[in-house]
This record gives sequence, C-alpha cells and structure tokens, in this order.
Amino acid sequence: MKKLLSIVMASLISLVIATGCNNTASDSSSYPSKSINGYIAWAAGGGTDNVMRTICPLAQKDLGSTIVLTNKTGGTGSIATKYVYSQPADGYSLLLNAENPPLYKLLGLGTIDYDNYIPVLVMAKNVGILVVPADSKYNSYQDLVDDAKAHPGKLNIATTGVGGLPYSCFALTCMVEGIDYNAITYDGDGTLQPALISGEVDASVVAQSAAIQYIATGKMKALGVYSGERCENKELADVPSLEECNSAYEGMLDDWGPFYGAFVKKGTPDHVVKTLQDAFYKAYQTDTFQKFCENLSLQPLGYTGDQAQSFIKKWQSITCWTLYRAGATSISPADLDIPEP
Amino acid sequence: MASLFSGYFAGFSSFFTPYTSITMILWIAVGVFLGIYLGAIPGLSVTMAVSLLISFTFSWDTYPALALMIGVFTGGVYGGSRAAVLLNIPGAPAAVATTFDGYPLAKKGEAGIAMGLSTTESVIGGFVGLLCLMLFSPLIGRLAVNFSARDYLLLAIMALFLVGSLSKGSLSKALITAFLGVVVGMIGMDPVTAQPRLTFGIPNLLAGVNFVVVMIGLFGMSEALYQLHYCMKPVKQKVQKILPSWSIIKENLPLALRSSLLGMIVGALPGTGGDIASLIAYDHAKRVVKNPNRPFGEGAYAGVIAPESANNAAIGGSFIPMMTLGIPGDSVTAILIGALTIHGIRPGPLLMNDQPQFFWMIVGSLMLANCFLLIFGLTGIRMFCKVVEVPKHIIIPVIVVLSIIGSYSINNSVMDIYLMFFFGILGYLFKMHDFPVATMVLGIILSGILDTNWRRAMNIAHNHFGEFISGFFTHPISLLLLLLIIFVAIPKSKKQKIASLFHRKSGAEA
Repeated sequence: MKKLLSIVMASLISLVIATGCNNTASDSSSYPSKSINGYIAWAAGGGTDNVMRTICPLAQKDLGSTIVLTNKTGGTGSIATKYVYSQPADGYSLLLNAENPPLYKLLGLGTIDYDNYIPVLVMAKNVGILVVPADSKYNSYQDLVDDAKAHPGKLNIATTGVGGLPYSCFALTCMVEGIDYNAITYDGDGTLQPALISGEVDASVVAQSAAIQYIATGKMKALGVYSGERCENKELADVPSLEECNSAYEGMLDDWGPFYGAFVKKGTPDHVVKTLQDAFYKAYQTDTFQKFCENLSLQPLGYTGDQAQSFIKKWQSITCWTLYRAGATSISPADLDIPEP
Repeated sequence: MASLFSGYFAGFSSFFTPYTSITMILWIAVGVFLGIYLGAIPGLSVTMAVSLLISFTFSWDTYPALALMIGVFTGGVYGGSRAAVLLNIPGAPAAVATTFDGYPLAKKGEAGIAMGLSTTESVIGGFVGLLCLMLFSPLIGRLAVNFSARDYLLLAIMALFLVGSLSKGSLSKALITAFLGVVVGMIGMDPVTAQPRLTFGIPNLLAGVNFVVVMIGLFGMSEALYQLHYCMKPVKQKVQKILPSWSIIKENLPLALRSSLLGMIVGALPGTGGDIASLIAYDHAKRVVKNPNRPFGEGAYAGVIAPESANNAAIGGSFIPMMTLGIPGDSVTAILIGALTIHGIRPGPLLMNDQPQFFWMIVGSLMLANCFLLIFGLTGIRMFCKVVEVPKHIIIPVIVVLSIIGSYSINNSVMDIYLMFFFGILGYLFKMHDFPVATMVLGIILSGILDTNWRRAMNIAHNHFGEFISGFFTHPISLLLLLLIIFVAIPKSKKQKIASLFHRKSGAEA
C-alpha cells in the first residue's frame, strides 16, 4: 500500500513540476512584458561569462525587465547556439556567445551559426599575445620561427582545443611562416597557464587580459601581439605587433580577434531587435562597462547591425581560410560560401 | 627562497578586516548557513550557488560580496556530507566517499555521530588547509604549477587502486563498473580533436554526460528504487549523542591531519579537486587504519573522518594557485576569479605584489567561515536526524523530485533528467546484483584525467615512448609518484617478506 502511495506521489509531483516548464506565448507589441532569458554559452567565471554578467545587469535597467542569466555550456558553445535557435523568435531568449560559431560549419560542430542570428551588440574583443615561459630560449618572434623551421613539428604549442584562441592564432602563423608545430591540448586556461609557466610547453597564445599579470611578474615572456598595432598597456608597450615582425601579416590582423556578443534568432520582430540594441548600446556606453573593459584590457567595439555583421564576416573569412590552408579541416570554406580574404 | 616570501607578510593586518566589520561577519555567517543547506541538496552544487551569487551581488561592495561567497563555499563543501550520511546520496561530488561509511552509520542509528564527526573533521581539515594557505602558499603554488601531464596521469593511476578498496567482495564486479564508468566519461567531443565519441548522433551528448547527473542517478534515484523494492523501514536514531566523544577525535587525529594534507595538495592542483581528494583519503584510511571500530563499509568512524577532513582541506588548497598565480584550483575558485574580475580585482601574482592585504582578507574570512561551520554544523543535527526517521512513502518521492530538480538545474537541460533516470535504473540493477556503484563514479571522474593527460604527456614527448620514459628521471615529482605507486601496488605479504629480509640482515650484522 505504502509502496503504491510512494509511486503515486512521486509521479504526481513530477507532473506538477513539468507543468511549470512550458513557455507561455506573449504579446510582442509591448516588449518586454516578462523576464528575458540570457544563455551564456561558456562556463561561469570565464571571459564570456564575465562580460555578460557585467553588461546584462546594466542593460536590464533600460529594458525595465530582468535578464535571467544561465550558463549553457558545451560543444565549443554550439549547445547554447542550437538551444536558443530552438526557442521562439520573440526576443525573450538571448544567445550570449563568443567568436566560435562562425567556425562551426567548417569544424563540423553544427549547422546553426551566426547566419541564423541577428547581432544585438558585439561588445568587445580580446587580443592574443604570443607568450613563452620566462626561462625560454626564445627571445623574439624570429627566434621561435627560426627554430620551428629548423626542427619541423618539434615546437610544443599549448592550445585550448580546436577553434580556441591559441589554435586560430597559430593556424595563422603557420600559414604565414610555413611552419609546422606539435599541438598539446589543454581543457582551458586554468590548466594551460601552469604548463606555460613551468615550461612544460614551448609557447602558446594567451588573451591580453590574462597575460598582463604573468608578464609583469616575470612568469612569462611576450614575443608578439596578434594585432595590427601594439597594446597600450605599459606592461606590453615594448612587445611588437606581428605586423612589425613580418609584413606578410599586413591587413590580416586589423579588427581580427576573439569577440563577445549578444544575439537573437533571425525572424525576431524589428522593433524588438531595436529595443534590445538600444538597451545594450546604452549599457555599453556606461562608465561601468567601459571601466570593466579597461580593467580587463578588452578593446570595446560596440558594433550593432551591419557593422557587427561585417566584423563577424571578416573574422569568419580570415579564420576559416587559415584553418583550411593549415590543413586543420578538410571542408573547404568555398563550399560553405565563405569568401576568401 | 627568500625572494619567494618577500613581502608575503605585508598587509597581514588585513587578516582582521573581516572581524572588525559587522556586515562581513554577518554575510559570512549567512553564507555558511546557506551553503550547508544548499550543499545538502543533491544537484544544487556549490559551484552553482556561487555563480548565482555573482549576479546577486553585482552591485555590492567587493568585500561583503566576497564574504558571502566564501561562506557559501565553506558551508557547501561541508553540506554535501549531510545527504550522504542521511540518504546515501552525496550532496556534492566531494561527498561521494562519505556515503561509504556515513550511511551505514545512519542505518545503525548513529546518524548523529556521523554528522557530528563530519563537522569536527571538516573544521579540522578546513584549518589545516588554511594554515597551509597562510604559511606555504608560494611553495605549494610552485608545486602545483610544476605538476606536469605525466604527474596527473600517475595520480589518476594511483586513484585507480581505489577500485580494490571500493569493491565489496568481488573485484571483478568492481572492475566491470569502473570500466563502464571510464567509457561513460569518454562520451562527448574528444577534448583533443573535437571529434564526437560515442554520441550516436545525438547532439545533446556532444557536451558529454555530466558527472553530477550520473552521480545523482546512481546514488539518489537508484537508492529510492532500492528502498522501494525492499519496503525498507526507517531507522530510529539515537540522538542523545551528537558531539563525537573526545577519544574518537583524539585517536584519529593523525589520520585527520594526514588526510587534510593530502586533500590540501590535491585541491591545490589545478586539474583535480575535492572529489578526488576525498576518495584518495578514504583509500589511505582503509590502508593504514589497522583496527577500525567496525570494518570499513559498515560504519567505520575512520571512513567518515578521512574524506571529510580531506574535502574541506581542499578548499584552502584551491585558493593557493588562485591567489599566487591567478589560476583556479577548482571550479568554485574559477567562478570566484570571475566574480572578482567583475568587481575590478584580478587575483594573481600582480595582486599579491600590489595588494597583499587582499590575500590576508580572504584568509581571515575563510578562518571566520570555519568557525561558523563548527557552530552551524553542530546545531541542527537533531533536526536533520529526523530525516532518516521520516516514513519512506514521504521521503522516497522527495528524493525522486530532488533528483529531477538537481539534474535539470545543472545545465537547464531536460536531456539530463532522462540521463539521470537511465543511470538511476542502471544503479538499481547494480545494487540488486551487488555491483558497486561507487567504482563507476570513480571511473567517470578519472576517465577524463587519464585520457587527456596520457595523450598530453605522449604529445609533449613527441609521441616517442623513450622520451616519455626519460621524463621520469628528469622530473622529481614524476619519479616520486612512480615510486609511491609501486609501493602501494606491492601486496602486504610481499612487503613483510622484504621487511623480514632486512631484519635478518641487520640481525646478522649485529
């Protein structure tokens, strides 16, 4: 009897919970009329998470509606990208993601990418710094390249996996210099950085925001900046940009780099997109957000609409073609209608 | 060496900052209290609680926000043991090892003692971890950084010996579930090449099977089904005795201290956390404690003492790489670094140089949190004991619902609920046929570490086995770990033989 009662009660409660899970349709004319869900495609505590948890509370003040933030991680951000696409295009589900989706088709991670989304705001971008351990025998970019040419495939480069920042940056260097390296994959910055400090690997690329403290305290050496110009921080002012190291990089590194942005599904009504864009842009302009970017050495972008689209297209075109030429993928970007840079 | 410590004790006065501010004391207390109760609910993890707090404390001052998060961290790691003792469901991964002897104690009517012990030992572990954080941060930070891929591999192999400790009679059954666990741990995108493995074309499996979901299924759901099957009766608890007698604590203090040190070091390693720390500590206890009050697995006090001191010591450990290098020691410190970044503070070597007072403020807050842990941990045990006495037709549905909520809330994914049910039924079948479920959980925890670090180590050696082997002789940590593994692997009888050989020799010389 009690056994039966337990089963009945368990299933009843489960049903009650299940009813709370459905999405009630709402009128789009008075957007926003309920709370908005923001899905962060990367884990709590990471770069994307930091940016989103800073800008969303600022944007919700202007929207007059709360943005409920959830981390929906996995698959280089493709899980969240797919999930938000499966939600209705009513502006109540935001995709908060980084630079990875434009590479999904090329790397076979999925068919849904930013082509299926409208950019609300591309907030900021990061810059990759080419770093080596403090006691490394390499003292300049040229040392590293020369050694890599002399010993093909021997240079141990730490990466955070296919499509991550070190991976994309080194694909570019390999293409420009015609070198070959040995990729050592780490789960993320948390395990990659110790390996660099201890000298377990020869070199890697670390985001500027994370690199500064290691360079300032002498735990790593910086050899170059993956950008058209040098960084403004005093710690990195002496580090040459890769364009200075090799003129073959010219034009490739301007406005290229990992970025963070908010997106809504294609088909979202125009006035909803406009409301969101305005709110996020206002949040972007606040001192709080600008100060945050400064603290983290992020380059504020504030791109919306067509500007955001063309920025993403450029990133996609350069990165996809370098990955293809470096032999990282057998799918040609041409087959995916990605124009050559 | 001097340069390692130079300026280290500057800003020590900030150690007392949390004690002079009423708001900070209050928030730490609130945090510990919340943490204990959140941690006790399976699936609601510390990681999740702290990441929720980031948004919640966004507009606060840095210090109170940090105080609250440190409180929740300390309380939450401890709270996981509550459900482990009372329901045989670890509230957090770090409490898996506590179920082995904690739950048998509750079944014998000694849930009060089990929880009392887990409180005192957690506090001991917490203080040991803190002392190491205070005194040896730069040294341990260096050790953590120099732990190479090969060393993680060796550590994981050492942890594999646990399969023997966790098997209940049949080693082959334990091996079967352990290997199943390793296979489940490999589901998802390959961490090196991003190729999908064992996903059968299901996109939701790309991210892998979340370890906590499996844990909730194997322990929570399966326990509910198992109890339902046998119509188990609640056990009347002896609640007069809550404070464990002084003699138990004193007798086991060396074990607690060793487990704490072990937990602190494993916690300080960026690639491992409290879950592995407590399992290794349990294994250690089983090897060294000669005469436990009851056999291990049937309610040995030492079986609660070792994992509980280790997992709380891991907290202090996880702060070491965070403060000295800006590298998270576990998932919670990763979120803490993120939270502080939003507040404009970036933990790491630069902060240690420029604002050492910040380090001491954190140490002070952790110390205070540990004191509150003792208070809140020992009060309310009577009430918690009632959980075991609740009629089964009420508690079983509650377990099922908590399991559902817990597995859904990890990633807000309905798929995880299905997976939880799947592993729940699997765990139930395991239990019915005396297959240990703990070894499967162990397999899943170790799977990723074994897989990625083996490949990483070989990759670094340019895929030459000779280069890989030669690494053992140039890297002292690897050699030490290898010798330790060989020592553990030699059976006791062989060791006695070798020892007797030595004795005879020395006797002959005399």
